[in-house]
Amino acid sequence: MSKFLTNIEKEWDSVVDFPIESKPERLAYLEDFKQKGLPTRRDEDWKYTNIGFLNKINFSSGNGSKINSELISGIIISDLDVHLVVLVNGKFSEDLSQFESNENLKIIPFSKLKKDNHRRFKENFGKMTEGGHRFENLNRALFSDGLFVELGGNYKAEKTIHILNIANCKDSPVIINHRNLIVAGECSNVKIINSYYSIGAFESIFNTSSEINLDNSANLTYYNLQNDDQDLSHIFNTTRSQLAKNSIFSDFTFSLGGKFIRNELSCRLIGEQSLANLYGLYLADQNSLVDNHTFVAHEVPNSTSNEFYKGIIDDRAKGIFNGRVLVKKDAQKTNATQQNRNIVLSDKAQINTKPELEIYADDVKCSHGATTGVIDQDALFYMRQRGIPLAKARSLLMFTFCYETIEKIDIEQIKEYLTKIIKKRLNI
Amino acid sequence: MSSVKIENLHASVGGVEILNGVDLEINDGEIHAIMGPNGSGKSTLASLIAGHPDYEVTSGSILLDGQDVLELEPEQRAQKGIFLAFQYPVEIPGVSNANFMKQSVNDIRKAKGLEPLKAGEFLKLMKEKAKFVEMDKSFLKRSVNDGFSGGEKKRNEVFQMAMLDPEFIIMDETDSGLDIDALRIVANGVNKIKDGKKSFIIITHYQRLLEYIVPDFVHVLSGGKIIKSGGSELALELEERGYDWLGETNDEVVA
Repeated sequence: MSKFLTNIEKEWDSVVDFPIESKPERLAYLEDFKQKGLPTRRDEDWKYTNIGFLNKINFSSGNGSKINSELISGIIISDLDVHLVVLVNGKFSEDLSQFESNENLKIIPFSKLKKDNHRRFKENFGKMTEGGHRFENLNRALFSDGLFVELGGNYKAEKTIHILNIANCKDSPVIINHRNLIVAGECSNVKIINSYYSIGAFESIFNTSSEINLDNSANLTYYNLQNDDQDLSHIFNTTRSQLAKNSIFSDFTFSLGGKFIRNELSCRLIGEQSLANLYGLYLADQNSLVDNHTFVAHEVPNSTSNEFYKGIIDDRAKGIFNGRVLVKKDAQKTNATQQNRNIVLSDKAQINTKPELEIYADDVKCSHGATTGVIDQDALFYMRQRGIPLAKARSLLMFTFCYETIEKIDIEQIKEYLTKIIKKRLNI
Repeated sequence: MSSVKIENLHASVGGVEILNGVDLEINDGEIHAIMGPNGSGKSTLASLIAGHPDYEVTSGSILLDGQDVLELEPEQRAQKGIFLAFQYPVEIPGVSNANFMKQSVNDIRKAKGLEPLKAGEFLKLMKEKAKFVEMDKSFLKRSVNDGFSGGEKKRNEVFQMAMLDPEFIIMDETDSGLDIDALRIVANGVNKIKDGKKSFIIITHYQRLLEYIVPDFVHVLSGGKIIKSGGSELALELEERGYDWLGETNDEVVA
C-alpha cells in the first residue's frame, strides 16, 4: 500500500458520524478511492500534473495549536464588510468566525446541521459530486466539516460571504477535506469568496469540494483566492455548478501562490438563457505548478459561456490549462467562447494548454483560442525609449496583462487587494 | 547642449548590411532633414540611434555631446535626452497615457538625480503640453495609442516629446499618413518644442512637412550612405526631380 493510502486509512479511523451523514454511509466513497488509487500521469486528465508529492508528506488532519484571532485581520480583505466563516484544519471555528444567519440567508456549518430541517440541503447535498472524480470521493469519505449556504428566493445578500480555509501546520503536515454546498434560490443574488491560508513550517494539503446550485434567475459570483505559501501549500479545489433558467454564475479563480494548485471547475447550463463566466488568472514561478481543468456543458438551447483564462509562467514553473466545452445535441443557439493566453518568461518554464470542444448541435456560435508568447518586444522597446528601465517596463506590461482579468471584478476592495498582491509579485 | 556626431556608422540586421558608413554632424539647435528613397536605411538609422536591440552596429560611433551612446541601453539613451518619435507608435492596452508619462517623466528625472514630480505639478505639465498638439484631456486617460487613429498616434508622439523635454529628437516619418490638418497640428507642436537648443533629425519622404518645420540642412540617404547634403532648398529640388538624378540609388537595401 502506498504511503498516501496508509495515511488515508489512519484518517478514516478518526472519521466520526455526522448528523447529516453517518460513517458507514461514507465508506463506499473510501472504498472507491482505495480501489482506484491516486491518479498517475498515465491518466489523460493528469498527464502533465505530477502528484507524487502526496506519497512523501506524512500528513494527518491534526488539531494544531490555537490560532490567534489577531492573525485573521492580516489575512482577510481590508475594508470589506463580510460574513466571515473560518475553518481551521477543515473544522468550523466559532471563535474566529463572524456572520449572521437567518431564514433568508442560511450560513450553517455541517457540524451544526440537522439534515431534515433543511429541505434544500437534503435535495442537493452530494448530488453534483455523485459519480465524481477520485479527490471528490476522497473528500466525501473524509470531510471533517463543511459549509451550507442557502439564499431564499429574491434575497439579495448585501454582504459578501468569505469562507476562509486555514491550515494550521505549526506542528505537523496537515490534510484538509472540506466541503461547501451553496444553494441560491430564485432571483437571489450573492457573492462568495473562498480563500486559503497556511500557517506554520509544515506542508498543507487542501482538498476542497464545492457544489453550487443556482435556481432560476439567481446570480452568484464565486471568487477563489489562492495566494498561499509558495513552498508548502498544495490545493486540490473542485467546484461543480449547475445553472437553471436565466441564472448567472461567475467564477473567478486567482492562483497567485502555492506550490501546487489543481482547480477543477465544471458548469452545467441546464436552463435556457443561463450564463456562465469563467475567469482565471495564474502566476506561477519557482518550482510551482498551477493546473486548471474546466468543463462547461451546454445542455439546453440558448445558453452562453465566456471563458477567459490567462497566466504568466516563470522560472521552472509549470502551467496546465485544459478547457472542455460540450454542446449537447439539443443545445441550439449556444454561444460559447474560450480563450487561454499565456506568457512564458523562462526557458525552463512550461505551459500545456488544451482546448477540447465537443459540439453536437449544428446552430451554435463557439470559438476558442490559445496563445503562448513572450512579452511584446515592440512595446518593451517603446517604453524603454521613453526612459523606463527594462525591468520596470516588463513588470508594467505583465501587470497590464493581469489587470485585464482583475478589472472584471465588481468589488473594489477585492480589486485593490489583488492589485496589491500582483504588484508585489511583479516588483512594481 | 546637444551636439551629435555620427561617424562612419555601419550597421546590419540579421547579417544584411543596411548602413554603409554614415557621417553626420549636428550642432546645437540645428534641424537636419533626412530624405531618400524607400529602403535607403532612414528608419534603421533612427532605430539605431535610439538603441533598438535588433540592429547591430558593426563599426563607427554616435557621440552625443562627446559621449559615445552605442554602449548605452535604450532607456539610458532616453534618459540622456534622445527621443524617437516612432513611425509606428506601439499600442499598450491597459497602460493609460497619463500613467505611462508619469513613469517616463519620473524615471528620466530620477536618472538626472531629480525628485519625482508632485501629482499636482505633473497634472499641470500634462495639461499644458496636451494643448501643444490640441489633444483633448480624455486622451490622457486612454490606454497608450490603443485604438487611436493614425493622426492621433502621431499627435501622441509629439505630446510625449513635449512632456519629456528631450535634447536630441529624431522624428521618423511623423508626417506619413497625416491629412493636412493633422500635419499642421503636429508641425505646430514641434515648433513650440523647438527652443534653439534642441537638435532634430527629421526623416521624411515629402517636402510638405519641411514647409512647416524649416530645416537647416537636408541630406539624402541612399544605399546606406549620405550621398548629398544641402540647405532647405534641396528638399524642394528633390520634390521636383525625385532621387534618380543623384545616381547611386540602385543599390537599395531593405529598411
